[in-house]
Amino acid sequence: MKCHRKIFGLLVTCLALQMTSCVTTGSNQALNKTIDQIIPEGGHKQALKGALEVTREWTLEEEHQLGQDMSAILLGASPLVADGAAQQYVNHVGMWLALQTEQAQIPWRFGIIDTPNINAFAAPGGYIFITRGLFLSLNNEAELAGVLGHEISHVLKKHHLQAMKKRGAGDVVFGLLKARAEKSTQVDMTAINNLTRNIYGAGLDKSDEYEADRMGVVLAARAGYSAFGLPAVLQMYAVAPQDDSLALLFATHPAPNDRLNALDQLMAGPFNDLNAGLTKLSRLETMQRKLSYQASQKPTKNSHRKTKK
Amino acid sequence: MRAIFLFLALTTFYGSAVAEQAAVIRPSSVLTKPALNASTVASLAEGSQVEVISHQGGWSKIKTANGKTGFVRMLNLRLMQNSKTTGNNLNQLGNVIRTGSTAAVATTGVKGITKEALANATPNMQEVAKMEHYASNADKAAASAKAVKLSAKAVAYVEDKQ
Repeated sequence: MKCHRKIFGLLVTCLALQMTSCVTTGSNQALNKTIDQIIPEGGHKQALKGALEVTREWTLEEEHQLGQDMSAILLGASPLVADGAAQQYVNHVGMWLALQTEQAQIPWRFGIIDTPNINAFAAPGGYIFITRGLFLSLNNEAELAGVLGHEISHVLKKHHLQAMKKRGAGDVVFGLLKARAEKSTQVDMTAINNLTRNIYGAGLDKSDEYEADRMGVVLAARAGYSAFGLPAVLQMYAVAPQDDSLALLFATHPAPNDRLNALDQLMAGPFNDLNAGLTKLSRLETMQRKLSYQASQKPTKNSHRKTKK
Repeated sequence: MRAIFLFLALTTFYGSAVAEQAAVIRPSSVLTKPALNASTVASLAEGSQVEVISHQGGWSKIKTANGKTGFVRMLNLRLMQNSKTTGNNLNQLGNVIRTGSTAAVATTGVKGITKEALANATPNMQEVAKMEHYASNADKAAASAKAVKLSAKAVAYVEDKQ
């Protein structure tokens, strides 16, 4: 029995060593196989496999799963705008930008959220949102590209997943998603929902926002737009009225002028050609007219009360 | 009647005049055209105030305190808050939200995405599922871009200099 224990101890040590190297090299499948071969069935095996699971990188599918849950909270606060043409339009623009990234294979999904509040959001695994309020405030498609490019960069850099991990919740979230995927039974997702509310309410690290700005201007330029769309949106924010429509955006992002100062320094060299790329495309204005709050009053059931005044 | 007026006011401002006050953050030349080789109509010292008329790519069309009009690099300007002019789209939207469309917002049941709304939001998976219906793909996106003459360019990521 003692001997058995010693051998087991040795095996665990070997595995621990191999695990460290596997985590760095990413060959988790090989390690899983090793566990299957040398560890007898029972609690130890499950514990080791569990430990291995939380140390590995998330797969794209797992990130997409988390992204669905996080998006469900955003869309629980306000649904999508009920306009198929406008939704498809942002998906075409967004996908064109995503094709210029190193991760075009992500199942990118874009949506306009039906709220007058000014903001844009991302969720893991390729979910990107812009609010109707921001969509209507844009001056041109280069600005839309800058905003979407910024959000796409949050996905590329896994900023939301990192925010979960920084809150010490990476393992819990992973475990819940895993449990839901493996069992067909109902899994309580309260923890993930609360974390999501917390992350969108508190925002990402400021350094993540600056990074997304740096990448966003590049993605817009790669897609053939003027790189100055995002700076123009930041100029707009800098003089925006301090009211409820921008309260969450201002609470969760660095000050617009600080973001402009950072871009100013970086863009001086590589974006010297101030006329490069396209800026204005009439298709954005067509969609803006469709989504205008005034236009939408006509078909609204109760609108006759207002228009008679 | 008010709705019609607001509609006209809003559509007038889409993609047009900005008309904001801005401060020049470094000495800048005001050029006759939005081109680096254009001739200079005025020179602005750091701290000068100008009126921004519109944006064009990386350029801003401005009017100097002396009434001269021309183009400066957009990022040489920082717009100033509480400027009296209200051509900004956000101000327009704000006016609409505050006056004309409060009723419209109420009728469509939109709560908004505020910190409070998020704290109380219950997950809506049906809406997430709808996004599949609107999704694009590589071919469709490329065709859509080509139709408006957008073409991909090689641009390297920029590094943080700090």
